[in-house]
Amino acid sequence: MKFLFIAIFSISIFAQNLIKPIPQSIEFNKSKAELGKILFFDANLSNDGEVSCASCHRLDKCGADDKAISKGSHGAMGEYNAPSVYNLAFFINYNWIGDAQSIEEQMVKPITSKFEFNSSFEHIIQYISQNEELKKRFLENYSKIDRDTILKALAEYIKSLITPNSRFDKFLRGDEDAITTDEKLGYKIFIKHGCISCHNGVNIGANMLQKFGVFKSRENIEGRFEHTKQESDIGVFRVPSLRNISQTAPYFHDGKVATLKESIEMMADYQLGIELSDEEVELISKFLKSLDAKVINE
Amino acid sequence: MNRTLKYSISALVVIFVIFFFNIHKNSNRITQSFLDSALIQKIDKLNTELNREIIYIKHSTFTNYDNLMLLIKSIKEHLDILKRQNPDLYDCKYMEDVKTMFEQKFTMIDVVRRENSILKNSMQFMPHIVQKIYKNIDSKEILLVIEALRFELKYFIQSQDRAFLSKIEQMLSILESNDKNLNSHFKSFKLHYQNILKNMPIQAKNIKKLQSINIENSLNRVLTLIKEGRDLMIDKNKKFELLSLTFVILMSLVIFIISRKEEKYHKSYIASLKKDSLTDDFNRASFIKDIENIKDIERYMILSFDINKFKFINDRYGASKADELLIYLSTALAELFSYKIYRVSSNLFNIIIPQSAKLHNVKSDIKTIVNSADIDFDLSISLYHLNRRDNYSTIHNNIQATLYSAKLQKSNKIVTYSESDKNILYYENLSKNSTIERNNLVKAIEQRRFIIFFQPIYDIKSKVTFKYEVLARLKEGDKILPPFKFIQIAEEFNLIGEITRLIIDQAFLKASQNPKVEFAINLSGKDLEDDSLIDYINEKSKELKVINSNITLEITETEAISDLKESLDFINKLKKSGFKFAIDDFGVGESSLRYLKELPVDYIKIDGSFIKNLENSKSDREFVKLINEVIKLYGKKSTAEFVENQAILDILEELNIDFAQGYFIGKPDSELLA
Repeated sequence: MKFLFIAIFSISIFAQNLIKPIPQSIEFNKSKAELGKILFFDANLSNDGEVSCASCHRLDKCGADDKAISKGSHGAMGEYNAPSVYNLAFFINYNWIGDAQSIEEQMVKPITSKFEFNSSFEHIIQYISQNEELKKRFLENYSKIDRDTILKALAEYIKSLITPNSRFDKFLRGDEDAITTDEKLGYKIFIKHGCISCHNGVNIGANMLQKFGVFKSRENIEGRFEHTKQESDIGVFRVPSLRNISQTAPYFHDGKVATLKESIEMMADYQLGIELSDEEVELISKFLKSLDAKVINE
Repeated sequence: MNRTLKYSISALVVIFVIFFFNIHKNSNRITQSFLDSALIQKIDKLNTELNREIIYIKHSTFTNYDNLMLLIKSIKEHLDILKRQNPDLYDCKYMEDVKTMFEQKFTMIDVVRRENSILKNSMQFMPHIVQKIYKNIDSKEILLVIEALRFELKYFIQSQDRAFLSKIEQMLSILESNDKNLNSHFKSFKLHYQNILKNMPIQAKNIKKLQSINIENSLNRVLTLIKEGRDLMIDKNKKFELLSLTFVILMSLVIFIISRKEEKYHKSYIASLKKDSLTDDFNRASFIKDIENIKDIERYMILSFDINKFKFINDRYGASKADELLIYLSTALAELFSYKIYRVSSNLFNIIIPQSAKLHNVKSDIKTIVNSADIDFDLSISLYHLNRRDNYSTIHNNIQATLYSAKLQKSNKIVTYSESDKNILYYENLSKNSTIERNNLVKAIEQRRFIIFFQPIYDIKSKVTFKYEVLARLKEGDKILPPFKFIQIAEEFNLIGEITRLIIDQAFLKASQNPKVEFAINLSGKDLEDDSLIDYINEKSKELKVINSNITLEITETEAISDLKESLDFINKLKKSGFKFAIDDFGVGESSLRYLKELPVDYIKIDGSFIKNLENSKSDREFVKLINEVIKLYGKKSTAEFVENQAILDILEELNIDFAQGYFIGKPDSELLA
C-alpha cells in the first residue's frame, strides 16, 4: 500500500509537467521557409528526379508515409519507416537511432543515402545554379548556394510545420472539457503503467534513447549500434514522438506494425513487462487520438 | 638639429604606437578574459541546473526530460561559443578535463535514464500486481510470503546487502500455482521483482557514479586560471601605462627643448641669410633684395670699395690678419656712412647711397682710414649711378668694370662709371668676348665640327712610320683652327671633356679601321679629373673593337704632376685595360727627373725647344743625351718632336732616341701619310 501511495503522490506532483503543450506559434523566416518548401517538393534534388522529400513525408499523411518502407531513388528501399516531419522543431534527437542533433544535421542522411535520394550536395548546388528562378530566389535569401544554405532553407520550412492546439494540449492549458472522460482515463493509465517514463515532454517522446525490448527482446536489430558501435547500444532507438500518432501508421522503425492497438499492446509487453486489458488498450488508444492536431502553417 | 627633432618625434610616435598597441592588446585580452569568465560561470550555472534535473531522475518516479535535454544542448552550445571565442582556453588542460567530464556525464545520464524507466516502471507496477494477486487467493501463507518479499526488497534496496538474496530466491520459488490466471500474476510479480533486484544496484551505482562527476572543481580551476591571467595583464597594463606616460613626458620635454633651440637657431639662421658672419655687414643676398626693392632707383648710386691685392695680403699676413682688416674696414665704413654696408664678396663692400648725398669729404676720410690701419693696403673705389633698367647683373658688371678702371689709376681715388672711360670699355669688351667664344664653342660641339689630323711618328731605328699623333682641329667656315685657338677657352668653361670625347670617337674609329697602326691621343689636365672618361674610353674601345695597346694617351708633364695622386689613379686604371701613356713636353717642368720614376708611362716626349736647335747647340745635345739616358734608365722610350731637318734626325739617331716627329718627318694631315 505504501508503494501505491508513494506512486500516486509522485504522479500528482509531477504529472502536470510530464507533457507540455506545443506552442501556438514558432518564429521562422517566411521567405526562407517558402524557398525551403519549394525544395521540399522538388524531385530534382534526388538522383533519378522522381523522389522529393514530400514523396515519403506526405503532408496529407501527417508528414509520414503510409507504407512500411518508402521507395527511394530508382526504387531503392532501406530498412527504416519514414517518420512524420511535424513538430521537429521541438525534438532533441533526430533519426530513428538518434544520431542527429538538429534538423539540418538530420537531413544529410535522406539526401545522401542510397536508399533515399541517393543524391549529393554537388548535384543539388548544380541543379539550383542552373535553374534561373530557383537560383534567383535562393540568392535573395542567402549570399551563396552551398551545402550549409541548402540545409538551412529546408530546415526553415520544416521548422514551420507545427501542430499546436490538439484537444489534449487544450486540456493541458486548463480546459477540463477539451477531452473526454475516457481520454482522461487513458492518460491516467499511460502514466500509471509507466509509458510516460519514456514518452514525456512536448513531443511525448523524441527526447531520449531506449532499448527496444526490455522484458522480451526482438531479434536482429542493430539500432543505435549502427552509429556508436557500442554493445550496450544494440537494439537501442530514439523514443518516437506520439504527436499525431493515430495518423502515422504503420508503426515502429521498420513499419512492421500496422495498427495503433497492436503497437500499444506490444509496447506494454516488450517494454513494461505487463499485459494490458482490452479496455486499457482502448483507453490509451483514445488518449493518443486526443493528441491529433492540424498543421498551422500551410 | 632639424634631423634630431625629426628623429625624436618619430621615436616618440613609434614608441607611443607600440605602447598604445600593447595596452590596447592587453585591454582586449582583459575584456576577453571577462567574457571568458562569464561564459564559464554560465556553464557552471547550467551544470548546477543539470544536477538538479539528475536529482529529479533519482527521486521522482517520472520526469519530463525536455528540460534536461535542453540543458545539455545549451551546455554544448556554450562550449562551442568558448571554442570560437577563445580557442586557447578551450584547449587548455583544465578545459580538457571539463569537456571529458561533460562527455562522461551526458553518457551516464542516458544510461541512467534508460535504466530508470525500466526500474521505476517495475516498482510502479509492483503494487498493481500485488493487488491482483490479493484479489485472487485466500492462502494466508502466500500472502505472508509476498509481504515478506516486499519487506526484504525494501531492506535490500536500503542496504544493498546481497545476503538477503538467497532467502529471497527461496521465497520466490514458493510462488507457484495451478490456477493459470494466478500463475500468470505470480509470473509477472517474479519478473518485475527480479527486474528490480537486478537493476536497482546497477542503477544505484550508476547514479552514484553520475553524481561523483565533479565538474564544478574543474570549472573553478578554469576560472582561477582566467583570473590569474587577467590580474597579470592588468598589472602589466598599469606598468605599461606608467612607462608610456613617463616616456611621453620625457620625450615631450626633449622635443620642447630641441624645438626651442631650433627656433633660436632658425632666427639666427634667418639673420645670417641677410648678414655676413664675419663683419656683421649685410651680404650679397641682402644687397640683391634691397636693390630690387628700391622704388626710385635713379635717385640712388652705389659706392664700392675693393681692397687691392687682397689675395696677396692674405698670403703675406695670414687669414686672421686679413679678416681683421675686413672687420676694420667694415667698422670704419659704418662710422663714415650712415647707410647699410653690404659685403658682396670677400673684399668688396657696397653702399647704396642717395644721389643727393655729399661726397666731398669722403676722399680725405678714406685716406685717414687707410693710413690708420695696422696693415698696408689701398682701395679701389667706384661710384655707379643707378639706371632705371639696371638689374643686379648689370650693376655688378658695371661696378667690376669701374673698379678695373680704378685699379689702373691712382689708389684710393673714386672712379665714377662712364661709358666713355677707355678702361671700362676695354674691360666690358673683354668679358663680352669670352662669352661669345664660349657660345661658339658650345655650338661647335653641338654641330660636331671637331675633326682630327694625323702627324706621323717615325721609328728611328727601324726607319718606318707606324704611329701617328692625333691632333684636334676645329672647322669654322673654310678655316681649320688649331688647338691653341680653342683649348684654353674650352678648359675655362669646362667644355674640354666633351671635345676630348669627340676626338676619341674619331681616333678610335680610325684605329679600328687600321689595326696595325698606333695612335697617340692628347688629353687635357682637366680630363684627368674626370673619372667618367675612363669608363667612356673603355666602353668606346670595346664598342669599336680597338686594340688598346695601339693607343697611347699623352699628357703634359705639368698636368701630370699637378695632382700626382689623381694622375696615377687615372693612368693605372687605363693601363689595366692595356692603354699606353706618354708624357708630353718633357723637360720644361722644374723637377722633371724625379717624376720619371713615379709616373708609370711608356713614352717620354722631349720638349721641342730642346730639339729644334740640336744641330747648333752643343749644350742642347748634351742635355738631350742625358735625358735620354735617364729615360732609358727607367725603361721608357723617348720621342723627339720638332724634327725639322735631316741633320737633327741624324743627331737623334746618334743619340739613340727611339722616335721622331716634326715637319721633316711629316706634317699633320687629315689622312695617314707615311
